Amino acid sequence: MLSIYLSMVETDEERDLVTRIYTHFERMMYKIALGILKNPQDAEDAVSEAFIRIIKNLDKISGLDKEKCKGFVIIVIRNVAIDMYKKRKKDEHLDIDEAYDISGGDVENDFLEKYDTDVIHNSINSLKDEYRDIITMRYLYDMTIDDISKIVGMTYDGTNKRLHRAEQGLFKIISEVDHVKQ
Amino acid sequence: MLNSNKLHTALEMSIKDMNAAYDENEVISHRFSWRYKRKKRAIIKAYQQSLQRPEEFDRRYRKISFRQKVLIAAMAIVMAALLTGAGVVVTYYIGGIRAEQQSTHTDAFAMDWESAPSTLEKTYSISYDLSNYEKNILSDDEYQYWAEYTNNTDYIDFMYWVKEAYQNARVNTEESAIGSMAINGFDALYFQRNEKDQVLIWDNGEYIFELHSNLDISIIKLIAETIYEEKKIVNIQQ
Repeated sequence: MLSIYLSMVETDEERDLVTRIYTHFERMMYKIALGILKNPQDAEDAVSEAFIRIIKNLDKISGLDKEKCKGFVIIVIRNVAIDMYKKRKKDEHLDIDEAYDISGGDVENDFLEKYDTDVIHNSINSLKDEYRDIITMRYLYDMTIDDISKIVGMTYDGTNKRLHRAEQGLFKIISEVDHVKQ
Repeated sequence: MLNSNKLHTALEMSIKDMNAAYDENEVISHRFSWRYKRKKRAIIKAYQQSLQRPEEFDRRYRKISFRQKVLIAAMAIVMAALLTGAGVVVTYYIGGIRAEQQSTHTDAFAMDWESAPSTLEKTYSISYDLSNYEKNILSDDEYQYWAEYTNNTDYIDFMYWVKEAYQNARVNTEESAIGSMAINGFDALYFQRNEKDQVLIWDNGEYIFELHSNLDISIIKLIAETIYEEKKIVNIQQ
């Protein structure tokens, strides 16, 4: 009876996930944002904006372990800072999608089954941050394109295109790794 | 869409690699601004208030974009200039305060705030006999304390702030001449408003104090000089 009672009790801290995220990750987020934006006030604004976006996607990380929670926080702050940097610089050449000019159709759904997990892991690490982040949000955190577009600050179509390019980029790297092995 | 357990596992491994590059326990020497802390409190409050209905979060945290803030500020400046004729600004440096007086108001700034405490770590009280006044605490948080004393005829507003929060504080000094007087060895900014309201503002080195009242200035000065820091009681166990 006592154990049932204890399991039903929620402390304020357990319920206040946002305060805990602030406590654990606020300074790390500031440092990441400062590295991109190079301005302390902009970095603080980025941290605030990142928390707003995290709160709107809290269901994606509540119940996850600290490792996955930290990963999500890093992805969000990085994308928020890059989004702010692009808006303030208004530099179209910062669109990294241009760097991946991959022609070809959709990636086969089951092409990854042919490869070792380690090969896939190393290939993911070889992707640019923005492509790795979008694949992570989609396939590790199960986020919809709409949710991802709000994190990265892009339109729905733009996000869909970037995901498509990220998948193609991953396929290209894995294929090249496999070709070298052979 | 890619369906793969291997992809999921690989992504978990990739997250661990990414996380290893960032240490959340690293000590960084950055002091978050008062503006950031205020925004943080507003975000947490909006989140807590919208726990049962997450869709209300945006409404509760009314976010105005930076561009909108700049636009609003620009419009306010233009309106103020049109209404007041954009007069001359006179700057005073009194004690630790810089006061920029314009025709209708003064903008006050606490100087040297970076080295001052960022939160209210001390508590101050008035020892002057105010027993015939009703006391009402209007604000008591980590940045500002504000107590209002009133009776049938008179009022006294006693405030103290962290210096970081006392930036661009707008004070109504319309048709008032700004002067100074000594309060407990500190230079205080002084002005009279509407021929009856007296205002004293001073910096004690750590915090900004304000006293507003319709009493005679000699009494207000007496009250100001009875302000003292309350000592914390420490129990020593034997």
